[in-house]
Amino acid sequence: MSLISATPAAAAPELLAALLRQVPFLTEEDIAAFVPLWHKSVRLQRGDFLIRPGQVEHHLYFVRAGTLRIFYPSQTEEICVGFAYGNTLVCSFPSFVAGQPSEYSIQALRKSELIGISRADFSAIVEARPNFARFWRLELERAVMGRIEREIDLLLPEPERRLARLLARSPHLFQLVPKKYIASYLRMTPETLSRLR
Amino acid sequence: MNSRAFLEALHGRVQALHTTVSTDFAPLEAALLNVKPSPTSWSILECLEHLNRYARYYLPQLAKALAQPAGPAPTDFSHSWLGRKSIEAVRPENQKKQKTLARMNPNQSQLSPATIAEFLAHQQQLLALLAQAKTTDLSRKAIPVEFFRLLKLSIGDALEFVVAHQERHVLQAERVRQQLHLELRV
Repeated sequence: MSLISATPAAAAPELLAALLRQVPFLTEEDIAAFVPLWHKSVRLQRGDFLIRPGQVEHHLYFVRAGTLRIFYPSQTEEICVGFAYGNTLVCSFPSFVAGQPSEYSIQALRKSELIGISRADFSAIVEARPNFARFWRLELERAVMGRIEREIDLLLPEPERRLARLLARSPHLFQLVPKKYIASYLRMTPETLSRLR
Repeated sequence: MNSRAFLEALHGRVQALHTTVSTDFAPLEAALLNVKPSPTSWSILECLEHLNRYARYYLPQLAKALAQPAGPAPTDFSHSWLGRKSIEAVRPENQKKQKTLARMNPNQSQLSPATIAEFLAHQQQLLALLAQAKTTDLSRKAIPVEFFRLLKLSIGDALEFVVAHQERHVLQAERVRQQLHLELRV
């Protein structure tokens, strides 16, 4: 059973356009200029990598369906630092913004479908259309807020408080992501997570 | 409890469901209404189609029961044991997952925004049935349970069961809607 071909689910560009129409200040013309720039199409099976450490990845991706984990491979473990799933935009930020080799891996946790826009095309449209500059600023602000929340999580010594904050902030994660990765994200063992839930 | 107050409370709950679905879901594009958070969880339209399948069974059953001539309507009403258990199982506050019968599971079915129009029409029918129920004995055991027809719910049980079940899945659809925005993950 393929989650991509079954049901009248929208194709990735169509879904991206529908989501952009939810942003009140973007016009139909903005959206019509933007969506065709997402040339790259990526389909990943479970376990496939979108980005590996050391690669420079110049695309921003839109996840049409699927779940991915962003992790930092240390010598002893793979530390989950975030997740991407349907309707999210994802990239290796240092790679996309600064052209640096990625330190992180992004790996599909289930069959995933993405489309990508190149850094060059993305920068050009953000320069050309102030509405996209505003859109990108709001997305970046929200991402920084998320990072601050996450930093507070990591400073809390009690695992139950870290869990409570994540449950309040992103309850849907617990439906999408296997527990062992959520445990890694919360910096606790899977056993501790099971005990607390 | 007082029968009149019971029916009025249900009337308000059905109106609230109608408002939520017509203001929050009806304006969304088909591409968004069909988004499934994961392959096995339901889209907004799948949540509503599941409810439509229940309504297609229970609303005609209620109409049939209410069409039968009945004696005077008592001023008081209380749920049967089976009614209380059924309502408890589906009310939104009960976080326990219930197994969905295969014929009631719309996962992977072909749905269009017509599903929303059907849901809203069911709410209008339900409001009419609630008005009709004012002159009946709500304790009359007249509604066979969908998955085991030898068991019967009372008219009052069935009315509240349908409303509570709808609230459960409209809330589920609301949670899906809240995920329908772009979000950058870095």
